[in-house]
Amino acid sequence: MSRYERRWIVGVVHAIYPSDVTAGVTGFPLGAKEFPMDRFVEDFFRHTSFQARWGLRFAFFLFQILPFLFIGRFRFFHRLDPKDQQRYLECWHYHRFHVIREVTVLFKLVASLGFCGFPEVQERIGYDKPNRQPPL
Amino acid sequence: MTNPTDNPLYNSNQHVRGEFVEKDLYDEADYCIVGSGAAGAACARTLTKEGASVILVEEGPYYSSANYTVNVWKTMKKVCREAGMLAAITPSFSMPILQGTCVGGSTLINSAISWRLPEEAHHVWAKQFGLGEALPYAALENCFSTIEEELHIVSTPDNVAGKNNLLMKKGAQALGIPASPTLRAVHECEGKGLCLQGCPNHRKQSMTITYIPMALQKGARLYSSCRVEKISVEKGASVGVIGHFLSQDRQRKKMKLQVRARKGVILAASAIQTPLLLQRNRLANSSGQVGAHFQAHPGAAMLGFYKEEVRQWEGATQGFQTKPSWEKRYKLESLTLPPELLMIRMPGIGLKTMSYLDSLRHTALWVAAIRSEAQGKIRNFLGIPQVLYVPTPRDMETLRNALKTLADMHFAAGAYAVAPNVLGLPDLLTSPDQTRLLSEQPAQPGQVTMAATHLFGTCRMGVDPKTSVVNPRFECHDVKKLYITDSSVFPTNIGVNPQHTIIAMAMHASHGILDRGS
Ligand SMILES: Cc1cc2nc3c(=O)[nH]c(=O)nc-3n(C[C@H](O)[C@H](O)[C@H](O)COP(=O)(O)OP(=O)(O)OC[C@H]3O[C@@H](n4cnc5c(N)ncnc54)[C@H](O)[C@@H]3O)c2cc1C
Ligand code: SF4
Repeated sequence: MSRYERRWIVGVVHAIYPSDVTAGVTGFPLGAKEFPMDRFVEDFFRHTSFQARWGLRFAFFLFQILPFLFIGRFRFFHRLDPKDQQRYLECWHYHRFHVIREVTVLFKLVASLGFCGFPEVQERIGYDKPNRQPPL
Repeated sequence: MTNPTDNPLYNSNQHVRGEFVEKDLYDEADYCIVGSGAAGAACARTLTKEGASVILVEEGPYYSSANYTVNVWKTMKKVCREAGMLAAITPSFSMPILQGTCVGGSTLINSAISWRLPEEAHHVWAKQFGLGEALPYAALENCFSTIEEELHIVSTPDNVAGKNNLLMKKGAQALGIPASPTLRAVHECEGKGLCLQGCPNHRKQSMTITYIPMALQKGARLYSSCRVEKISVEKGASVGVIGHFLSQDRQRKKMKLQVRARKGVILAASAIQTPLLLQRNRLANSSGQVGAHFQAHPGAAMLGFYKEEVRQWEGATQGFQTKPSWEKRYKLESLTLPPELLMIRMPGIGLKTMSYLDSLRHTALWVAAIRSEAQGKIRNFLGIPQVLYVPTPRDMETLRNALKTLADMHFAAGAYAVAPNVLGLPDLLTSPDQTRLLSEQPAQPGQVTMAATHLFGTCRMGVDPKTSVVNPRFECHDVKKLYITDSSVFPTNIGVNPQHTIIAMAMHASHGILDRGS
């Protein structure tokens, strides 16, 4: 995976779990930006099967380049401001075509396996199991 | 207490860990069993008990209890097929399918809920598939009794149930729905709610700590991290298998294992992998039924939000359930999920989803699993395994009724809102009279998020070689001494959690295989 691709994917994860600093309204004091999501993403793609890996990479690529089609912004996803990122995510998430909706469910899966797996996040949620470990 | 998962036999020369093998190996025994999950382990236990020699070949690694972790991703990447990313995918519907790939198979990560095969299902098998005589219910009952004793199948007591389960009890009682604590294969469960990550205190009676050690005790040999690729056939009978050991990250093939099986090869690789293996080997498929008739119990989850703290992760993972109704075709269960998986089920995306993080501890999660009538297909497409499956309109109607009942139960238990997870409905239903939306809405399959872990039917059993893959003695019609004992032989799904029936069927099959072998 190239540096750019990783940055794109991590950008989507950051938008799914935005930091309070950028979004200002989540009420949750932590966001994906506070954690080494790039390392998680790298590990995630190393362990998934050939078809899942390529399917997901293709989906992330399309998602990155299509804001103009969905919200009329001629920018890549990672260059959108947080408000437009949220709007764009929701456009896909509530889309009438199943395939398009499913893409965001997959993104949510990747983001949640990463972000919600960090002990600091789990501590705050109240998931107080012993020997918590980060997803790395 | 000694640590039963790390039974010393796993560290003896009876267990070869593929990750560390540096040269090609050859071995032989009476029987070679492919897969060490519910079916494979039960066969190994039964065959060795009767004095047969057995080699167990398992694609996944031996996952020692020292490595158990509450982190979901770390668990999934080590013990789940495709790191948990396996799914049935079509343009209109997709559904994740979770399977274990490790010593013990899916039993290492399941909740050990145990149900005897419903008599109604047996009746269908007897009437429609002619299996009544070959699979007498009484013989299965003997196996059920043995398993219940050996695996400590007991009802979940209130003191380890936790609030998630107790709220479900309250909801069911309030509505007069027949329900009871779950029967599970656990020994003195402490209600840690970690069954899906591997029970840390070895209370859950997975195959890893029960039947596999029993078989090793009786002399079985286990090859882990070794994927069987070829089934060797001579003069129309199977005589062994060839597989490759896998590297630690499972991405690379290493040295070769060749096994000679004097009396037969037993496939117990699961309802997805067994047909794939046969298809790759172009075996046992003169009927064209290998991989066909794939069935499941698709399930959907319903979150209830409560004013009080529920802390669903405290208590037995799945400790309460409604009585499954054959006619209604669904079963409702409580389920504890860790935050990583719970958040995927929260409504919305981005900011919206995030706003629920702080209320996770106020949620109770219950699921509906349906006895679906849909039949799908397993196939190799350009070498890539594919699962094709779409619930039927009747299945969707069943699911909608089940979801409505779940929502009603949540409200009856005191929830102030429920998250229906159905596209087209509001993210949250906030009053009991809104639950009717669930049964009114004509939902398409793609509008409801589902998942499946109970899989059946892809090498089904029958008396007619034209319409089935194995005969009632669990032997392939086309290849002698090639047996299949996992749930791919079930002619239909069964409407209840299958592990108990899978183990019983595998035990029953083993007795027949032994008779034939002698
Ligand atoms: C998360 C989860 C929760 C569940 N909860 C319950 C429950 O509470 N109650 C219940 O009754 N059921 C439950 N189930 C279902 C139950 O675990 C399965 O139905 C059962 O384990 C299936 O048994 P099996 O032997 O057919 O397959 P598995 O147990 O999946 O075992 C198959 C084994 O074969 C191996 N294998 C596959 N291909 C090859 C190959 N080519 N070479 C070598 N080895 C191979 C696999 O790695 C795997 O270890 C659950 C399943 C999951 C995933
Ligand atoms: S609920 Fe906890 S203690 Fe009980 S079997 Fe599951 S993981 Fe083990």
